[in-house]
Amino acid sequence: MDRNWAIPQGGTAPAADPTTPATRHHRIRRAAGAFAMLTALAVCAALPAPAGAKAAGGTAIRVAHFSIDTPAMDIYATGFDGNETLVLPKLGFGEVSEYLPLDAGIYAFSMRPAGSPATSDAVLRVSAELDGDTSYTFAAFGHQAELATDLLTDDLSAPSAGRARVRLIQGAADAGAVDVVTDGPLFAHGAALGTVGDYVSIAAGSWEVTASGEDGARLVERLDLEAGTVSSVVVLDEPTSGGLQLLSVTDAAGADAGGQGAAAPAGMPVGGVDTGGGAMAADRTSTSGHSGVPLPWLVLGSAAGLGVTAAVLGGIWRRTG
Amino acid sequence: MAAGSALATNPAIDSSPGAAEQLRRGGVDVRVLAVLATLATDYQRAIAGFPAIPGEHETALPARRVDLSSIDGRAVAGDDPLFDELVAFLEGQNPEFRATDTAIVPSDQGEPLLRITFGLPVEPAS
Repeated sequence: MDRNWAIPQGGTAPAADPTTPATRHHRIRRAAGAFAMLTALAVCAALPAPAGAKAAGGTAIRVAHFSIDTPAMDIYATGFDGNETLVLPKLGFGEVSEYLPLDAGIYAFSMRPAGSPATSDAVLRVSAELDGDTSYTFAAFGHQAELATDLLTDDLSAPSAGRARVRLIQGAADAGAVDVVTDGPLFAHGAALGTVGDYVSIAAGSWEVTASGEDGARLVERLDLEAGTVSSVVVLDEPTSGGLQLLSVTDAAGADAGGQGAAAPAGMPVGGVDTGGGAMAADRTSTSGHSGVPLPWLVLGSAAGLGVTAAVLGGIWRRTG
Repeated sequence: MAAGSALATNPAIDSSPGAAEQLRRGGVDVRVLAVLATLATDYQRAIAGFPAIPGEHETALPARRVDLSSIDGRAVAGDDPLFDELVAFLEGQNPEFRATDTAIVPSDQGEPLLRITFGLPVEPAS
């Protein structure tokens, strides 16, 4: 499966299925996003920034699918002009896309079951205003019938020497409140679905992690953290056993720490809309200086109040009739 | 492309000539633009006008009020489930983009309009 942001110009589509998480022999399953990012860079040789050579600052967003019974989704960017562009095909449960660099601005994305026509009704639409010099993760949690979303702010600042930075995301919908402990720092106690912890500094190395759900589910895994990395550890439902699983997502690594994730695939729109001097636009939205496709993107909705920090036009837009 | 100009080309939004011109020249508040654009993703033919708020005619403030005369070809009606859906959407926004008032008002010709008004812009705390 492909977790890369698609390139809306012919001939440069990312390669399919760059790395399957299951082929990586980590005790804790690794998210696809970090690997997909590398593939995107390899495919898009003309990209302005090589891996690990991040420009300081900038805005970036990625999408995380943590809803166990929601099918794989195609992610579309929506323009104020009504045009929709498929930017991220087939993002499935437990997958996290790579970061998409953007200019600060207002953006909208819509999501449809993978393979659905672009003309079909979207399952949800999300809108948000993205600040400059900030990285975000847009995450969907819970069961499809009660889908909740959150726009997380990812602090990718580099850890100090010999250390890593980690945060916990509780994405298990069936376990009830979850405790997550290590043989070092305590990660979480009684974390409800959608809980997102602050990044904590932890010594690099291998840590034993125990996750316990209120429903009795229990999981013990080892978490290997390399020095200089910034990671999110996600507690998820395990669809086969009905228990828990841990997903380790590398948010930034090495020289990436403090940066903004992957460079944009060639041809990817990079500008927010010029909101024409609108009230919120003064210092928060600009297209000046961007070199990408002039962007008719729009509005993104963040949503349902799970600690949204930067979203402006919130709310999931789900048509019911 | 400016958001307002882009919105003016959105086939799901049938703007009056005056409203389209106001969109193109950037005379509409971004919150209004955002709401219209989002609504247009699912609702066809939302027809918009941007009446000035009394006292703001001569100011440089972009329009922060919009009148919708029909959605999906249906006249605005308070007992239409679609109306409740729209109000729920508007009320569900984050505070910075939440309308301060939503009401059905008569047009000059007596037709019902869905009027959405936003408060004076306040730059959110960073």
